[in-house]
Amino acid sequence: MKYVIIGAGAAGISAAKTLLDFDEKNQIVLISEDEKAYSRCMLHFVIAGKRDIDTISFVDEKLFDSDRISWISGKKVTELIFVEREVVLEDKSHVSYDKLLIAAGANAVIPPIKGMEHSKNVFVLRNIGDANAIREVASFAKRAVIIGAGLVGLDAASALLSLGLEVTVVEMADRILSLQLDSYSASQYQRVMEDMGAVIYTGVSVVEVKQNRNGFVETVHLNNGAVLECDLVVTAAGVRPNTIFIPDNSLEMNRGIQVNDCMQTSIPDVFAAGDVTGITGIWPAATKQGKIAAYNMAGKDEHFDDYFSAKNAIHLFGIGTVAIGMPVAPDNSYVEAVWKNDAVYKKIIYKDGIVYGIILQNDVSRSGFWTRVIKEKWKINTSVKNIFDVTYADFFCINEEGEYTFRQQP
Amino acid sequence: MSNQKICSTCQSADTILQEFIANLDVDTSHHRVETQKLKCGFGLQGVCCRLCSNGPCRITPSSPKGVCGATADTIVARNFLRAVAAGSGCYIHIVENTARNLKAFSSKNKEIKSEATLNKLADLFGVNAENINERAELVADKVLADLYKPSFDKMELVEQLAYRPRYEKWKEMGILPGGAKSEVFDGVVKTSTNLSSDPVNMLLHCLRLGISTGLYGLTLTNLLNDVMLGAPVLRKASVGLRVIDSGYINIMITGHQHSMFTYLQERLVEEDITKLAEKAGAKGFRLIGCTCVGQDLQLRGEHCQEVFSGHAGNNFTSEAVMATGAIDLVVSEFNCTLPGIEPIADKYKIKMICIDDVAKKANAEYIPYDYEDSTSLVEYIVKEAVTSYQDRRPLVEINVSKEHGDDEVLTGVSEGSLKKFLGGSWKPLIDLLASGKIKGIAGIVGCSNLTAKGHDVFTVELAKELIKRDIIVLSAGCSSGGLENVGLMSAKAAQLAGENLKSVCEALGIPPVLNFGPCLAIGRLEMVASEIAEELNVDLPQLPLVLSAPQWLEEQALADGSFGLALGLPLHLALPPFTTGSKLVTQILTEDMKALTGGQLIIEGDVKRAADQLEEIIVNRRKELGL
Amino acid sequence: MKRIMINKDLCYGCLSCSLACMAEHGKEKTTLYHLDLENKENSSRNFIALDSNNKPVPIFCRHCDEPECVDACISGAMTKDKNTGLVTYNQEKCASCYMCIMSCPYGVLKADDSARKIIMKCDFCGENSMPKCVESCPNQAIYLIEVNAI
Repeated sequence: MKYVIIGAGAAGISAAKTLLDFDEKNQIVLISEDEKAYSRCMLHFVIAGKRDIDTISFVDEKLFDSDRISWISGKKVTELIFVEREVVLEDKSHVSYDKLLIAAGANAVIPPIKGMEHSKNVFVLRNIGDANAIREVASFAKRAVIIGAGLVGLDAASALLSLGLEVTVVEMADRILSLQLDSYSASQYQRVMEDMGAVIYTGVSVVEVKQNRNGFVETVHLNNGAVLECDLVVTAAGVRPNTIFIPDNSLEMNRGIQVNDCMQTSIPDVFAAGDVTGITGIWPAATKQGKIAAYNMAGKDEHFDDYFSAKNAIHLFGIGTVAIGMPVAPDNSYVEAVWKNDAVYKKIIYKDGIVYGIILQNDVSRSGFWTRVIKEKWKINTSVKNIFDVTYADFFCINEEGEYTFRQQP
Repeated sequence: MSNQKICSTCQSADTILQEFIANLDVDTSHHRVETQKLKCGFGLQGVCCRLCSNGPCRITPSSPKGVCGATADTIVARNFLRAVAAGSGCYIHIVENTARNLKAFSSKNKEIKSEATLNKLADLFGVNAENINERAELVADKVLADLYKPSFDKMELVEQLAYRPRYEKWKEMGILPGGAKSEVFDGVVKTSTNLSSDPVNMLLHCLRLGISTGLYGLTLTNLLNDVMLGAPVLRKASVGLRVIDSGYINIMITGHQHSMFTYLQERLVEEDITKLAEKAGAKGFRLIGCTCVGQDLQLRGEHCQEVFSGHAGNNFTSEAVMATGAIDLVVSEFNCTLPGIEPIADKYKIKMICIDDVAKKANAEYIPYDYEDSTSLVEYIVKEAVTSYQDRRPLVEINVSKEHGDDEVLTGVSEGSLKKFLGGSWKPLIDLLASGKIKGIAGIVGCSNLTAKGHDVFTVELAKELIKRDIIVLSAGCSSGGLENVGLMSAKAAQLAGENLKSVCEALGIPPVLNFGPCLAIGRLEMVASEIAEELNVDLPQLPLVLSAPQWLEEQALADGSFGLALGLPLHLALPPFTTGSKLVTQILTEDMKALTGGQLIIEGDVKRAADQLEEIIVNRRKELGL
Repeated sequence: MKRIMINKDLCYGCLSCSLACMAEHGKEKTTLYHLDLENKENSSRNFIALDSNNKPVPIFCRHCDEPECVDACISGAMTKDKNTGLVTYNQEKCASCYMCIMSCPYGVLKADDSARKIIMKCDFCGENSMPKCVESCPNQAIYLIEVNAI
């Protein structure tokens, strides 16, 4: 059985590993636009010069030792001919498959701001090429503007601040990290960044950027009238599934390629996993989807069930934060319990014993069980125990194999 | 127990004993070491505090203070002072009872066995009385008066008993002790909940307790005992299980208070009592020594030759001694009287009598010792011993190892008998030190334990290392019990010494390891050291003298150790005294002490490294003395 | 593979397991006498937590069959070894992103207490030996069982 996987990101590599271990007889072909496999979450280390393409690899090199797996790297897929079971590459070569997994990831979106296109110093941060280019420009640039204060935007800010640039961050929402954190926890990052010389605008948007004669953006214009001088712009405005090579009217689409929980698309023997599905854009989801897709491709019935994606771990500027579930209570019917001292901030949002969100800043130790508790909406008996003292001990249950399970609270 | 021996027993330097114990059908301390081998890290470091109901608190990186705010330094210092206070209390109890005995002795006009010792004390204390018994009573009174002083009243005899330069140093440091019992009392109070949290103050208190322990509990007790029971005389003796003759009615004694047996040891060999034994089918009565009081009888063996069979072994040999089946009765008055002997006494039907309630075993009969008249107590003991002999001998198996022990042990060594042996002065010893024939003197003293490599293992190995380096070893305590049973205190052990020391020993006909007797005799070592220092006109820290209590066991050892540090001596222990959890306490004991008293605590768990360190100190001191 | 089985009713919360882990994994291996209990760099991989009845509960890494920490790891630092069954941590690759801490369903993971960059991950004290925590439990509340993993 010949399996072809498009994409060497978290989903693709995970699928390849799973297929390789599954049986001794299959053949796996991995096709990727990337020359090397690397973790896109670590690109900011490359910008900062702390790591390079090889040291941001998340793959064990031994994976490719087997002669059952071959890797066509550095080649874009241009077309899929489903009826022939063929993948067409940019060099016009065809790769046939028995089963196909599309794990082509997502691309960064450049917002439709006047003047952004065709400029030599405006970058997204999605691929190694982006990181290298940013690093290159940063080597002579003095002032950077970052559009979007989400995770990617702040990653870029951290790298550029560490290189000594003057950094200005522009964010539409009323605070940075607005999707992940509440005002207080976001403000801690803001404070540290400002101490490092960053300037942060919230509640504003960019209306226009102006390039000079050579195609370099020199000024960024905000809707409040401010004009920011800069020589480097990084825009982190979200991603869109990479589906350009999918023929029209072939696969069912929604945000990305539509799949069921066996990662099957609307065409038999064609699967999709990871960011290309547009389901949940987080790394663990991609890894698991790749695994599930691989099992199903190999004939084993497995289902993906971890759709809970409101979970973020942030470690920047020396401040570590874990935020799970809702960062802010939607109304007064929820209790927002806060535990705070000079260094540590903890906030739990709950109602009737069910926890809906938690933010832990500067003390994230041993907190992982909250992910499960919040996802499953298990009840906590808040009258018996201070909610901040809850640990897995309150749910402890162990089976004969020594595996932990969760005992429900009465 | 079943046929299959599943459990293992701990190693002993005394391999014959080890074999004997391994084959026993009873559970002993040697068996229990294995099951207790998992130790609590907080306990080991001394950072567990159980003083109040907010605890027990332990120091960890995420909980650096107890609930009350006590740091590791405070908790460790508190635990240490409390232990030293308890240990000091033990010794003060002993000297108090001994002094009470002397007082009662003299008022009953009993025979003073060593008038010379009495006169020495009378002179020292400024007691003038024509009548010998009056003199004895006045000496006893002076001692008791000091012990009962409140803590704000400095004890008077300290100045007389201490070596002058040491006294001046202690006065300068402000650590002259108040009343000995009050100092113990204060130590307990100070270390209670939310009282002292000053580690330095607490460690200085330990030094005060060390001084009162050493001068009164140790030095003075020996001398008071000499007065009543006779001064030690050098003689050869047999030791080990081999001394037990099952043809006699055998009474094993445990404790530290030799003076409580004054009448018993005389009475047991009087004709009418011997006849009682013969009527029961035995040859007579014998006392079997075990623990420090056994060492005391051995030390004064010259004066109780007939009744005393010999010293069978130290505290951790006591269970084996009883399991020979040849012991008919045990009389206990202090430690070490292991709780573990209770089931052994039951199994072998050995009668247990306790004469000081501080050492009461659950299955022992308590008959309080009567200072005025111990006639009825002794009669009762004799009666019970005969009954026990008659009842139990048909029912139990006797298993006495004749291989165990040694026949040629040099005993009766004291500051007096050794000096006399050398011709009445320390000059010969000083000359040998000067010439380098003897490189230095090491006191290997104190207890026996089962955890520093095994039963007496570290002690014996260290002694062997030191004598190899021409360092003569003086021993006192249960350590002596271990050393003599493996032959190191017999003349033939000279073979194991370095060439220089060997030639000295062969010339003098002495072993390279000298037995001063019970741990009380650590006070005798202090007298030897002081007298030698006086002749050389130096203070103790300048002598080529080191001290090791390698297998220290209990709180008394820590009080002894405090004395050693107050004397300015380097003191080696193989295991830390539950203090490593405090960097401050460790620093003060192992480093800063040098600048305070001149002493130094050395913790070293490897025999060779310990010997190296001790030798280095001796060599440096020799250099500084110009030797 | 072996896994540490837990009988929480036998646990007294003496913390011998945590101390043994600290002594084994400090900068230099040391003994219980000399483990620096005031040094925040000494951290145990396992921990004891109190449940709502104030009873101590041992919480130890399971080296899960399907480890969440491995799925969440963006750097390849957390991996499941096919042969030994152990989930191992590679400090060099780790990006200190905290995804694993957040993902462990039992909240076993934490970062170190000083620079907070290294994940305190149970390594079973090397594959072949008896883990130090199990060795040190005076009550055998934790003990080894054989499981067929992977």
